[in-house]
Amino acid sequence: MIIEARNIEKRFGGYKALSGLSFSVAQGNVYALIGANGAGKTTTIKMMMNIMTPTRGDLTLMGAPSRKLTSHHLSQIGYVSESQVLPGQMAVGAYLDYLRPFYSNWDEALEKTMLRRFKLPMERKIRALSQGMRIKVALVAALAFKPKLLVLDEPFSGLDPLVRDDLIESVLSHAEDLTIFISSHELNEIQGFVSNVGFLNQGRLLFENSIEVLNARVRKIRVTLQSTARPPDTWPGAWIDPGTSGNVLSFVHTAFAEDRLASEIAAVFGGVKFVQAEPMDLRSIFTTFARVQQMNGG
Amino acid sequence: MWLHILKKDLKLHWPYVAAVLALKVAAVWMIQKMGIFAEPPQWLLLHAFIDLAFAVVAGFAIIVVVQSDPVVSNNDDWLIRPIRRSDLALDKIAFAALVTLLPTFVFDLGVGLMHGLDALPAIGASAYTALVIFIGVGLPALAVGTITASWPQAAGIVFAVVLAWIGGFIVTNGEMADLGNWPVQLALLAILVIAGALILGLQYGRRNTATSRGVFAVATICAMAVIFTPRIAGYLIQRVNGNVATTSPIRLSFDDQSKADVIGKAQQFMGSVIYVPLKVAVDPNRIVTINNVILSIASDDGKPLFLDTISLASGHPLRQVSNVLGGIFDGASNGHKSNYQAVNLPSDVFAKFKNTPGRLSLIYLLSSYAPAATIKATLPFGVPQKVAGFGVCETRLNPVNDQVVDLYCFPATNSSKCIAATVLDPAGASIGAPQTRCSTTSTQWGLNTAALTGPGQLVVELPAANGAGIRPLALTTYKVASHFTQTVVLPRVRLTDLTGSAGS
Repeated sequence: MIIEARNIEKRFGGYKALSGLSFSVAQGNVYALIGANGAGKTTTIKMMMNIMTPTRGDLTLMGAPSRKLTSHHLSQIGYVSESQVLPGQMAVGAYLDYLRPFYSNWDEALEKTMLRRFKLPMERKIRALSQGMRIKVALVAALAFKPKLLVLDEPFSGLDPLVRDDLIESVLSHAEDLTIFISSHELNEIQGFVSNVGFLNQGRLLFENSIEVLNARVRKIRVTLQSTARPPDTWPGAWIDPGTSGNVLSFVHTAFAEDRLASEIAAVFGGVKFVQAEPMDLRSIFTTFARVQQMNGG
Repeated sequence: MWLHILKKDLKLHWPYVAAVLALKVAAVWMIQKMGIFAEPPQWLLLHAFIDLAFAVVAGFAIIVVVQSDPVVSNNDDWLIRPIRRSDLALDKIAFAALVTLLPTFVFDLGVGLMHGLDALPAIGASAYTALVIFIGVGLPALAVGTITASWPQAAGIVFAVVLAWIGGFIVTNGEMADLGNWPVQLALLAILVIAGALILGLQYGRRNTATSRGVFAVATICAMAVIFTPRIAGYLIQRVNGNVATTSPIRLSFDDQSKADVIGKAQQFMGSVIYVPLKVAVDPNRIVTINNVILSIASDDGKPLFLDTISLASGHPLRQVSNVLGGIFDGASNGHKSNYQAVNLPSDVFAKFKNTPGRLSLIYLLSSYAPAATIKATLPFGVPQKVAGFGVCETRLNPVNDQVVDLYCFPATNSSKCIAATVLDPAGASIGAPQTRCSTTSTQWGLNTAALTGPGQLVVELPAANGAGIRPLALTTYKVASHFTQTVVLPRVRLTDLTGSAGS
C-alpha cells in the first residue's frame, strides 16, 4: 500500500475533526476522498503530507510514518492544493529554476512540454497570475519530477470548465504508474478516472470502495405498486433515502444485486406492477449519502 | 542546499540587503568625516540614529526573509517540497549573519585599521561587536520571524516587547542596568542565545509554535528583569566574585563646615538636583570613578523614607568633583578645600521630602585606577599619531578658547580607560598639574569595542600657555586597581539646603 491510515484521530483543542479514520490506497490507484465541506478531507491530506500531525493513529506513506517523511520521500510526492501558497514574489521561471535542484529526477523536457501546453508566462510573478494559472504552475511543479504519488486537494475548485478539463487531461496524460489521491467536490469530473472512493462525513469514513463495486451495488430503485404507495413499517438496512409519489415508491439500494432484487421487493411490498433499477453517478451517490447522514443527524 | 536557498532569498530580498549596507556605509563615512575630534558634534546624534536605523532595517529584513518561507503555516509551498528544515534554518541564520554580523565586522574593522589601530585587537573588538549585533538583533529577529506568519503579527510582538520595556522603564523610574556592565551583558547575551537556539530548534525541528511563543515570552520577561534589575546587582556579583576591595584609596566624608560655601558655588540646573558637599582625601596616584550611588533618606526618628539607586547629574562644569564624566576624583582634586558632587533625585521624591529634616546616607560604588605606564609623546597640532596604550591621538588649539589645547585620542581597542597628560619642559619636568580624563565607554573582556566607532573620547584640555602642541607631553596610562564602596552620611539636613538656590 502506498498510503495506509489506521484509526486516525485529529483534535483541534476540544473539537474532534477526525475520528477512527482508516483507509488504504494501493499503488497505481486513483483514490478520491469525497465529503462535504468540513468533513475533514484537507486535514487528512495535511496529515499525510506531515503538515499536521495526527492526535492518534498510524498514517504511513510509501512505508514511512507521515511524521517521519524525509526529503527523499517528499521528492517522490507531488502536491497541488487550492489553498497552496506559492511564493508570489517569484516569477514562474525563477520558481521552477529554484525547485529543480531539489529533485534528482526532474524532467526538464516534461517541464517544457507542460509549460507549452499551459502557456504559462515565465517572466510574470506568481502573485500576478489568476487562480487557474497558479494551479497550472503548481501542477507543473508537482509533475515535472515524475512523482510516484500525486496528492490533489480540491485542485479544481473555482476553476472554469475549460481550465478544469485541461488540468484533468494533463494529469491523466501523466497518470501512468502514478498513484493519485484526490479530494474534490467536482465529482462528475473525477468520476471518469477514479478507481476508489472513500466517503468522509463529519470526520468519519462512512464507506470505502472501488468505483466498480460502488457502481455495481448502488442503484436508484423505483417501485410502481398496484395501489397508492404506503411505506413499510421496517425498511431493510441497505435501502436508504426513501420517497413516495402516488403509487411510485423510490429508494437507493446500497447492496444491489440484480438476481436478488425481485425477491427482496416482493418480500417487502408483495405484488408490484413495475420495478426500475437505475445506476447512479458519483455525485448522486454522494448527495444521497450526505442527505441521509444529515437526516440521521450523524 | 542551504546556499541554493540563500541565493533565492538574496535575489528576492536584495533591496533590504542594499539598504542595510547603505546605512552601514553611511555610519562609517560619518565616523571618518568626524575624525578624532568628532565634529561637528551634531553628527554624533545623527550617527547614533543611523546605527539604530541599521539595526532596525536589518531586523526587519531578517523577519521578512524568514517569513518568505514561513514556519507558522499550513499552506506554504516549501512544506511539501524536499527541503530539509535544517537547510532552511541554516539559510535564514546565514542571511541574518549576512546583514548583521558581516557588515559590522568588516566595516568596524576597516574603521579601526584606518584609524591606525593594531590588527589583532581591532579584529577582536570588531568580531565581538559583530557577535553582539548578531545576538542582539539577528537572533531576536530570527525568533520573531519564525513564530509569526505575517509582518503585522511580527510588528505586534515587537510592539509588545517595546511596551514591556516602557513599562519597566516607568516602574523602575528609568533605573536601567548598565548594559556595559559585564554580568548584565553576559546575562542578556545568554538569554538571547539560549532562547534563540531553543526557538529555532523548536520551530525548524518540530514546528512547535505554541511552545516557541512561550519560550519567547519567558525570555522577554527574563531579559526585562535583567535590564531593570538595579545596577547594584552587577556590582554585587562582582563583590561575590571577590573583585571588590575592602580597603579604599579614597576617603569621602560630609563637609559640613563648608556646606554653605560649596553650595554657593553650585549652579542649579534642575530642581531635583542636590549637591553633596564632600571632603575628599584621595591617593594622589590614583584616579577614582563613581560608578553609581545608592541614596537612602531616613527621618529624624530613623524611619526609612527613601532608598534607591540614583544617577549622577551630568553637564556640570569642569573642575568640580562631579564633572561631565559623572564623577572623577583624582590627585588634582586634593588641591581643592572642598568639593560637591551633584546627584539627580527623582522629582517626586524631592518634592515630597525637600523640607523634611532627615539623615541622608550615600553609598558610592567606586572604581580606582592606578598608573600603568608613562609615555613621552610629541603631538604637534593637526598630526594624528599612534600612541602606545592610547590609540591614535591628535592635538589642536581649541576652536572656541585659544587658551586651551585639546588632546583627543581615538582609543585603541585595548587602550587605557583613563588618561593623565602634562606638558614637559625642556628638562623633562611637568609644567602644571596633570589633566585627567576617563573614557565613558565600557570595555568588555579587555576590548574597547566602542573604540571602533566612537570618536571624541579621552579628551583632555591642556593650558595653551604651557606649550601643549609644541612641547612634548607626558601621557600616563591607567589600569583598574580595585572596586570598592564608600559611605557618606549627612546627619541632619533638608534637601532644599543642598540645592543651588539654598546657597544664594
